[in-house]
Amino acid sequence: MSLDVKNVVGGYSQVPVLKDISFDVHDGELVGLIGLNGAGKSTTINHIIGLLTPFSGSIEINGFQIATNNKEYKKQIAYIPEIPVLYTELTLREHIEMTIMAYGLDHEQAWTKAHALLKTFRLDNKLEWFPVDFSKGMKQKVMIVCAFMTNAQLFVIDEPFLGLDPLAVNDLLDLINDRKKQGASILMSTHVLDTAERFCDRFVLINDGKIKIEGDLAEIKGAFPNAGDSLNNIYLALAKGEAQ
Amino acid sequence: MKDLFKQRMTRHLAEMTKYLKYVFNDFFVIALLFLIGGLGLSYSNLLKQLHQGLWWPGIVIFAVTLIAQGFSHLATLIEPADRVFLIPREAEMVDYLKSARRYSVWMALIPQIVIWFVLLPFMRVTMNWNVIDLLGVLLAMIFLKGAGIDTALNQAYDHRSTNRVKWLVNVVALATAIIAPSLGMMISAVYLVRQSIQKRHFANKSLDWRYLIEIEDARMLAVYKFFNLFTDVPNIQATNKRRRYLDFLVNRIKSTPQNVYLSLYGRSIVRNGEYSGLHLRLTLIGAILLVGVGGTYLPILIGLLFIYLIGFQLIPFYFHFSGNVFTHIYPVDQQLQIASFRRVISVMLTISAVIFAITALIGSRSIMVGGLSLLLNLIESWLLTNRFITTKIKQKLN
Repeated sequence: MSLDVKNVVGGYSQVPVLKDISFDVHDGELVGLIGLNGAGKSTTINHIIGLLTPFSGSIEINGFQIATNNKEYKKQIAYIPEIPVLYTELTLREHIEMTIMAYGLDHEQAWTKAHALLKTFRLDNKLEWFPVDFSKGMKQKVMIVCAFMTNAQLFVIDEPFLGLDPLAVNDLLDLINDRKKQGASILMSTHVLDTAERFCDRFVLINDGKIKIEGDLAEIKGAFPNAGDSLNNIYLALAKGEAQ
Repeated sequence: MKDLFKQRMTRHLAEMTKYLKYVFNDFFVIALLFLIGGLGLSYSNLLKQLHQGLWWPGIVIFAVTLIAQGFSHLATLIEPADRVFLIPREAEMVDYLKSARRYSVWMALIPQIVIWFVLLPFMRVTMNWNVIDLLGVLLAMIFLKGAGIDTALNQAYDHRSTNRVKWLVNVVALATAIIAPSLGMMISAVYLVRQSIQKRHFANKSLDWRYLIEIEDARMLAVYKFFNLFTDVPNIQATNKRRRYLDFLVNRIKSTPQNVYLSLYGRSIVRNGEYSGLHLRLTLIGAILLVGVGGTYLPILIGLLFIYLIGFQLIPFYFHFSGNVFTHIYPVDQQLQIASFRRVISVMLTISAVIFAITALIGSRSIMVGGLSLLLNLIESWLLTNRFITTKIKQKLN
């Protein structure tokens, strides 16, 4: 069991955004976290990466919890934020060095990996660039490279598909597949439902801070037989039903 | 569109007033009064020794008036988002920019008149000029400044109008004004007319938003940097420079998880001008003061005061990365952050301590003062980094 979220109530201030949510992500599994804007996806992710502390409930990654073993817990995670966050003072090369340093990676191995990744995302000739020189898509690619060069067991990816070119989306999906085969798990939030439908093993549908349903496509179809065939239709029906 | 400018102006003035309150705090006003008094006294003493027919006063007047042309710029109050939101109304921006020009010209007159006024007694004593000549110099300064603002405005529509030509005309007109003030004034007037009639063609041309945003950002950054000497300015975002020649300072940091923060702090102090600029400015001001003052206790006290100021102003640098998610995600012990920060600060304070001791030695011409200053500066630096700053950070963290 890679990620286990149990009865988490949480949010930014006193008002809970997440109302008792539970779900899990198994080893070698890609789980899509699906929900509208403001449904609680980012809040969930912020709790998992430790930016927010749950009011109640627990989050466990491979048996580690933040409260008891912060360092090991964080070593398990690699995170790709929706909006790229880079150090304005550091060049691309130094961002990679930073990742190596922070995760205590083996220098040579990590650079070999990084070079391969940089080549895939066509960044290998931009090592001396500063973040201001990068376009939004390029910054996102830097985040992907920095995340996938680690040996993390859980990849938390917030809306990866917007802003990336089709080739990069394809490359990212390949990377995710490789890591899945190696036993890592991936939690990915997205609005791009047709891509999610094709690649995710299971889905967690979240609405208004509650988990509507968790399962693979067949299970979800079974639970809402009248909602339609595609994940898109099911989710639209669910979301509209909730609004009424 | 004129209303938009008025609205922004109100907001801008409110913001400036807010910061000016911090600038003109009691201590600074008293210090300023002393400074003006002291400078005025030495200025009047200097004037007593001067007379007409010296070779150099003309060059001084030329240099001062030329430097004065660099003061105050076109203030448009344009914001980056305007490039997106105001594009549909681009044609009407002409009116907006006319209001901006009027405001900028009025604001630009102030430094010109003040500088002319300060130069006035000097010119009276050293130059064989009558009242008309003196006014001619003032008018030349004002016309050139007006033309300079028009040049900046013209560039928003027409790239042929360049700063290089502007400075060339400034040099020619001001140099002429030293020899024949009324002729210099006339050259300036012609240039002003030449630069201001270009506005008639604006309506049909497309506006260079990027240029306008760039110069306004640069101007506001300069304003904020000034205020930042007195108080914390949130809008300030210094630009980063690669500074490869300083790499030797940070490349020695070994790549281990313990050094994550040392590397972050080290690299950003080298490349981000915000805190290293602050350090450099305060060290320079202190050093200049120390070379200037003599005595026994004063140099030591000034050195200690400036080290305290530098240390105090560097505290917010600790939180420089707290907005970045990754510093919360890296599997690194938070205790290491304080230790790394202390190391960087201690290096910076030690540099200042040594510089202040050397300049105190030069200023006082006494080895005793220099040595004592060095000792006390180093003790203070140690106390600041290892006691004071740590306590302050822990207070802020809780």
